[in-house]
Amino acid sequence: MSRHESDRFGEVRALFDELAELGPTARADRLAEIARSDAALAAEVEGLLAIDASPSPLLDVPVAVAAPDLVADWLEAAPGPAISGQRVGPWSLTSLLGRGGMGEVWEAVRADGQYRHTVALKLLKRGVDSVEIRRRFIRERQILAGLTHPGIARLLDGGIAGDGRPYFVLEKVDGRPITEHARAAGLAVEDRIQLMVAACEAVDSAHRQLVVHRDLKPSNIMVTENGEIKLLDFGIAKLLGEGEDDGEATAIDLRPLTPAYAAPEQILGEPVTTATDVYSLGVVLHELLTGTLPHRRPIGSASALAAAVERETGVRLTAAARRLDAAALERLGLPPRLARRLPRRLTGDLETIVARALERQPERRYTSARALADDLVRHLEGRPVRARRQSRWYRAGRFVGRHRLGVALAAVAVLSLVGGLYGALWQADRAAAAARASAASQRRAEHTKQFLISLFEVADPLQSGGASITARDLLEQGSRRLESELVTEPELRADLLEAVARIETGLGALDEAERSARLALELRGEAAPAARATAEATLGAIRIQQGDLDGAQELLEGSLAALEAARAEPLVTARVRSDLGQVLFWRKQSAAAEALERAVYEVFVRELGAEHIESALHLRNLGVLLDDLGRLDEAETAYRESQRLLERSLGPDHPNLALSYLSLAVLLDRRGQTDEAETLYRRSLEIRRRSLGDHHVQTGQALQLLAHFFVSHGRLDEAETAGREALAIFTAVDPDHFEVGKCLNGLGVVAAKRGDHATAESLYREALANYERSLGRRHPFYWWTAGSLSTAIAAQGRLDEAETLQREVLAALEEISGVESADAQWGHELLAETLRRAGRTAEADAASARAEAIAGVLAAD
Amino acid sequence: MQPDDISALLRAAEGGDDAAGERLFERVYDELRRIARRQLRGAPRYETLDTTGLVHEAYLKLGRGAAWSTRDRAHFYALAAQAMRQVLVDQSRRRTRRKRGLGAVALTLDRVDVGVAAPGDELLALDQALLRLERADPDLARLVELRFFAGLSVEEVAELRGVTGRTVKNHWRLARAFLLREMSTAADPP
Repeated sequence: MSRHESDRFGEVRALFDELAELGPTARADRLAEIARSDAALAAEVEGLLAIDASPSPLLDVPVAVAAPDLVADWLEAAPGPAISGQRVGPWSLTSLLGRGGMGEVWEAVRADGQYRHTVALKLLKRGVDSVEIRRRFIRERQILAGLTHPGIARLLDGGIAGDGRPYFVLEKVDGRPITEHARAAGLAVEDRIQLMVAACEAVDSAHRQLVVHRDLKPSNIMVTENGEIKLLDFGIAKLLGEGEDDGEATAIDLRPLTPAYAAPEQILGEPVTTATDVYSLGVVLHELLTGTLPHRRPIGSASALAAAVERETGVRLTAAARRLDAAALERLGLPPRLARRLPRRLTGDLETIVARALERQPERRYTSARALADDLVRHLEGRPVRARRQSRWYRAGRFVGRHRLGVALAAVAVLSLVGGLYGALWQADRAAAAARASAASQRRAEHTKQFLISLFEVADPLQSGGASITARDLLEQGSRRLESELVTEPELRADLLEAVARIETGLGALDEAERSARLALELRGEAAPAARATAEATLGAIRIQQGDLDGAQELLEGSLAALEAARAEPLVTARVRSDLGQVLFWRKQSAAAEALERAVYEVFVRELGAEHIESALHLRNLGVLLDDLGRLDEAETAYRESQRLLERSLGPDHPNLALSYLSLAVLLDRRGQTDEAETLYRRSLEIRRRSLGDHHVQTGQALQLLAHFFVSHGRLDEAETAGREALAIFTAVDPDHFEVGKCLNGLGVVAAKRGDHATAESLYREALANYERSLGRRHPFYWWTAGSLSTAIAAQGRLDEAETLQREVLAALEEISGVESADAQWGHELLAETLRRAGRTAEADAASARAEAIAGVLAAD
Repeated sequence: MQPDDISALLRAAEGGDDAAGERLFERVYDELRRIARRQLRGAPRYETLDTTGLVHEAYLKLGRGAAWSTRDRAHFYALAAQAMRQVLVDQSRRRTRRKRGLGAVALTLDRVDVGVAAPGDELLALDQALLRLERADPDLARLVELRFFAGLSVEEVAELRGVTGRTVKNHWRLARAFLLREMSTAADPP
């Protein structure tokens, strides 16, 4: 109603008021008078007064009297809190046990005395109207009633209450949630695991009847007074989850979901399987062992939750155990003696087991709850567990794996190591600056700077005399010390945490790095934008290694903007720029990356001098980028100059130089300077053998590059020797790592070059099996090897089989790399070759023509 | 339920906090149902229910121990009355929908000679008329809720609103006449 209309009603109201109490004559006179100036108003009020005089059966009594049956009806149908004594189906409610998000839980007894035990009756909040849902409900209920396992609270009955709400009747369990029980009883780690084994077995028995729980959490995993496990609510989630909208306004989505315990696929709306329960069991196990949840998940909107889950990375139990605060220890209830030993206790097997159960991808988790239980038992018995240890370099390796061999391989090592090194130096600078800023804390800051430098030195394999595992252990010790020693100085602590994060990044311990960086970011707060910006940059550098280039770029650009606004020191800003340069490099924007890195290098030269280690390392980065751009002369100059400077500061045998030698060797090999290339390959291999040992992954990488060099020069025996040694190294670390596949592929090439196509075929097939596990079939490596396999097959005369495979290879490479890519060109060439052999000349010519056309397009670019 | 809680919610709601208002409404609503259900237990199905009693009881229970100002009380009753209006109108709508599905004619014919439509339909018509009154004069609409849905007497409303009984009575007469007119002239049943 417009303003005019409501003003109008004001006039009506005023006139009505005036006339209401007048007698009939006075009223008529007054109305006649009004009618002369406003006939409509007079008529309206007259009409209202006429109605006023007549009785109304509806409005003259309160609604309860006017429509009593309506009120009664509403009460009957509308779901509301139940009351004691109320009947629900054949059950009679006795007392309220609890009220939660889904509804109420009552203690109940059978009203007709047919069943003597007290039961737990769950009365859900919302009503179910549709007949179809009721039918399904009753059908499912029968399946669930068949779940008989001592560890599962039995479903005794269920149905729809008179008010439309579904209810379930369960065996009543007197007990406590598993976490509460463990705390109250102060259970040792072994006893906690024992309980989880029992829980897993119960879950497994349900899984074997194809019932998934979907909402496992401590409050559904009860421990009775006798110490026995009882799972509650099995299958109820499924029962409710499939309710469709019945067309009325009662859209039903009763699916319970407890964000903290839900598997990623549940939150992201992907299919739910038995692996979903395995994940939730993993979360409970994590909580039982550390008193904390593996991931912090936001409460709030579903989209925020999904976004958080998308960002989650792997779980490291020991990292959680080391970060235990008083509240977590309280939740754990471990005796202090055991609590102190906890981080050590959780290292190794348990960490591996929990990580496996909490894998992001359902197919990478334990295949069943039984398998999880088995591994826990193996651990308790001191036998080796089955969960494959996911090596620290696996994720970083996957990332490298997405890129081409050769330059890229050397480049990632170069760039990431520079990150670790300069990050540590950077933070040492900051620590020193903080000390200058506050005289009172100067001694302490000096101490922490020393601590940091010593950390860095031990992380350097040369200093530690080999195995970088030792360095890692020291790093872990260091970050532990850091927590207890510096809690009163958040700024300094944040500096050091960032440093630790950088070093962890350099070592490929990305999950730990992320946690350290996040903690640093938290400590920074909002107060100092520049300090916060460096923490963001640290996280950005981690994102690069995680392969999340978008995330990295966003963080780094944000950080840069903040640093520039705060007029931060030029070196600080330059380091962030260099990180951003890495992002551009991986995005194949090498020209932009080169410009950025060159500017960075100039800042370093100006601020620290060209001789400084950090300047030399940035010069080497510049070389990598020039190399990638095909500016080989400039690249070679940069490599050689940085190598000379590094040799002078670090000595010629420093492991860091092994990378310089490899980068230069790859370049020289391509330029035909074979002898010098070989010398450099051998020298870097020597350095690595000596500093890292014969079994180190980096030694394996040097061997692999050397093998590649031998193959390309036809030195097949030497290639095979180097390749086999590399294969042995990688296999020992992790048989499912893609480096193993690369070695197998390389050995296949050697066999093929010798003309032994049968051996080549079987090696290629092994490589493919590995790639399928390690990289998946979306990866070009897989299809490159498949292409090689097709030639081995063709060479053995099985042309049809070869052709079929080649068409598959071509289609896959076209999809992965593009229709006009070098990969696609190669695919057409393979096919042309086979067609020619088969005498299908016209088709072969067409394929060749297509390959040439692509080559033309690529050359034009 | 903590009485202080309710007072705080009331104040927050008055201060324009929509979320608090919503929570408060839910609580009032739940409480009404709980009380209604208890009164209904064991009673014959169509026995007259004293909704005024319901609202009073809800008030007593929710406000127990708290020093409520007149404003709080007025606010509470307004909310309770609105809750009653909402649930009963919803209930009518549900019933009418069901009826349309299963032989609506027979049911309405039953009522024809009494001269009153089925209470469900009447109530829906009233709700529509009330919406129109609300647009013309929200104050009168609230009054109807208090008198008709919460069942408060003229005196009780006068006390809550701090006006004379005569004023309430006159306002009620106008509101009532307006509603009856709207209901009789409404072209289509809602």
